[in-house]
Amino acid sequence: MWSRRRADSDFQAEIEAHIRLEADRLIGEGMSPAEAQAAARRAFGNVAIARERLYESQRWLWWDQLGQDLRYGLRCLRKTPAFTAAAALTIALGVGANTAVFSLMDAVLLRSLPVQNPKELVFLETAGSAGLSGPPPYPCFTRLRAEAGSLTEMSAFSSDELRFEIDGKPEQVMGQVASGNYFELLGVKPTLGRLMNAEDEKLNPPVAIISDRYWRRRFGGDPAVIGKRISFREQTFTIAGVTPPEFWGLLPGTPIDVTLPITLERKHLTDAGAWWLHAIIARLKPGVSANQAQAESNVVFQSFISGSRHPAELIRKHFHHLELGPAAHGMDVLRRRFSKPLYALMGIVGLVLLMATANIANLLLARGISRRGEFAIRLATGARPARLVRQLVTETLLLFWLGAVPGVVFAGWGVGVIETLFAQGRRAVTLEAGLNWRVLAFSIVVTLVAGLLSGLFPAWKAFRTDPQQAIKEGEARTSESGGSATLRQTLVALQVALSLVLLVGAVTFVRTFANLRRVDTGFQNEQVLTMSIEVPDGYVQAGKSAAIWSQTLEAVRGIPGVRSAGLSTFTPLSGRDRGGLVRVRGYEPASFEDGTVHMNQVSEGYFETLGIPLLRGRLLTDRDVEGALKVALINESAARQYFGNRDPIGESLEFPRKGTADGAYRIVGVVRDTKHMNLRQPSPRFAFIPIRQPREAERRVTLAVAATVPNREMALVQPIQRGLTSVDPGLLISEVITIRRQIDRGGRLESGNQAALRCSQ
Amino acid sequence: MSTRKPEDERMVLLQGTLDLLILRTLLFGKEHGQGISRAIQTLSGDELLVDHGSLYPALQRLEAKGWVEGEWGTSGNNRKARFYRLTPAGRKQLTSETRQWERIAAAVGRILAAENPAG
Repeated sequence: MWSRRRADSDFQAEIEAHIRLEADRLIGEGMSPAEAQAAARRAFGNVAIARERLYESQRWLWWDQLGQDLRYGLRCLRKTPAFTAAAALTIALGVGANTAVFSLMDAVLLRSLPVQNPKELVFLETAGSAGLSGPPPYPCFTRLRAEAGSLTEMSAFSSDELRFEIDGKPEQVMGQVASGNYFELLGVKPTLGRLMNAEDEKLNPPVAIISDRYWRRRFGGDPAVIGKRISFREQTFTIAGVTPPEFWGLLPGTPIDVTLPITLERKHLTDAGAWWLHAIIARLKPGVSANQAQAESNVVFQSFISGSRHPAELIRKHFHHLELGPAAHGMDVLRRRFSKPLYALMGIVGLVLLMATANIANLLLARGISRRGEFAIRLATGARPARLVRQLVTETLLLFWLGAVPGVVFAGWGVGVIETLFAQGRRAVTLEAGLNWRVLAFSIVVTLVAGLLSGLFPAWKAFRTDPQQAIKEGEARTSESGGSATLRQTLVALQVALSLVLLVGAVTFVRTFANLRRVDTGFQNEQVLTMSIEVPDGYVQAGKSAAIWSQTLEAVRGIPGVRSAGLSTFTPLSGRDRGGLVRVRGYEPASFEDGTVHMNQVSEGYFETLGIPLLRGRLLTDRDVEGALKVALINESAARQYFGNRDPIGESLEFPRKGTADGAYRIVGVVRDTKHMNLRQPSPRFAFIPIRQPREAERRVTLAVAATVPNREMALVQPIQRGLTSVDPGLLISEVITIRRQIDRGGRLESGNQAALRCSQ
Repeated sequence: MSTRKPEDERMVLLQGTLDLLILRTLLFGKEHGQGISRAIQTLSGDELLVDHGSLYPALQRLEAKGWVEGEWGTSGNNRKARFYRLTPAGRKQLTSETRQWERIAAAVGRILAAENPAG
């Protein structure tokens, strides 16, 4: 219609002409000119409305009015800065919290792996009465790969924190070893260089594939990274390619930065008793159902497991059969752990937003009452109610956008906070929870719906009043009609109810958290600093680690401000664990489970530093070294289980492995139980053996340090790091954290779960 | 004063019929808005009242559809006015709308004239 547009002035002229013609006619009928003029105008009616209708009939009116409404809305909002700021802040919090939680849900629960046809991918895992138990050993994998015809390709991988040397400096990186066809199977294409292929399993030459994330962070995105050499376990790998930015590996929450050929794990490849793989992933042949493939691969697995020497009970419990699980979203460890808290959290932030919406609706309603005079005048001068409603809704939506934009920014920060809420033990959870179109669409929809909800009510209310009466009441603007008072009261009631729910949730969170902090962990958990120390590649094989541990302890104990220090494989409540079979003379295990014990290799000073009390016998000393009598300590639970009322001191423990024993350890002491996996479960049975009389030499240990002055433990970090570098510059230090903080991390998740539970009741 | 009826006794035109009447008025030649409104009033025996507020948007609408063409000109008593003329498309539209109106009027008339509507 643009080409046919007539200027408003032209139309105005036409109307004036009409009135003149009409007046002429009336004068002709005998009226006085003045009278005729007035009568003509009266007969024409409202000139303004006629003009407006013309105007409306020929423009992209909607767009035009939107501009008008926005300008007017901005003016209104500027007139009441306090209201605007309060409302925008409320909305920012509501929308921000929702966006943050949704982006986490998106990362953990909704998003599919960025690979080709993720729906065809399956994980192969063993299962038994205890549920899923991880993939079978490598020799079984090679048989499956060769014999399972309903799966086109199959790939195995295992991930861990790996210690690399880059330019002669040690560095800890989250990495994995994977089959050569890993990337081909997934259909991941390189952003730079090439990815691995089956040929690379020959390790000739050995190649490494790095992630886009790591490439940017560590190498500044330099394309010259291709061909760069990095070393791992004294072997040199050449960086051959970079994976695309959207590919984070198959473990949600644990981005993989370096991938190496799985064949470097030489001795594990032929060990039919080593359960070290993280996952076996395969692609279903087109047209083959998962059940078919499962039946077929299970036959292979059964023939493998029947040839193994595992006890029947263990097989029943863990390795009974092979299962195929969907792999479209990556491994579901994280989903299992987080789906409930995330849904609960989504519910809570949903409530918060609902409350914010009700709150703003209420404020707008109050504003609507004070603006009734204005609306009445606009109605009386010919504004159509629908137009005014639209204007009000536009104003509200404008307000919501004012809040939503900073809200989305605020969400980025919120994601970090929630991530720390979910971190357990020592390792953080890193989710690729960024803003993507799904998250943005979600925020936009949430904002629109909330805006419409809180905008339409007051607008609708405002025009259900008679304009004449409103004008009459104009002076007494605060008066309120019965209907709108009821609405306001309902909104207030809703707000109070929602606040109560949230308050109950918050109180539960705080109380659970406080209760958990009061739980007796069995050890001194304040003022203890811990850090992981890893020796360079080859030290363990060369038998140098024991000497390093002695020097480390000596160096750390010499630092002023250190009260005591000890080393251990892991510390309690760190999320780490070790265990194995145990043989005790005079004790017949009733089940396979009963014949196992948790195990920690510790140095002298460990129990003192953590304040774990000795109940009987003696603690370890610096004379419990290689060559001396092998000794061990056990905890109360182990003493009760294995010896009942007998005195365990002087008895011996054996740790058989594949039928052979490493020699007996004489029990010299009993220590108190401590919490181990979490604050709720009682302590399991534990055996402690000296780190310098190890069953298996450690490459990585945890150093625990108690400070002489309370709350000054963080000040010891730098001197300790200097001390360790002087012992050996190749020592890699990571995960520096106080025990208190490490425990609180776990406590927060637990408290959050409890709070969500209360809220949803 | 002439035989003019008081304004509130006249019928206000139904939406839609105004378009038809405008087109019919212009069948005799070009006319300006006030003239159209007078013609409708006169031809209806002073029964119909044209709301001027609706007349001009209606003219605008018809012009936009290409059924009439507007042009500034001078009236008989030397006043400037915008004159409207029927286009060929408008003439066709008038024919079809007239036929339609006649059918509706006849149908409504039959119903109203029936002796025993309920049967």
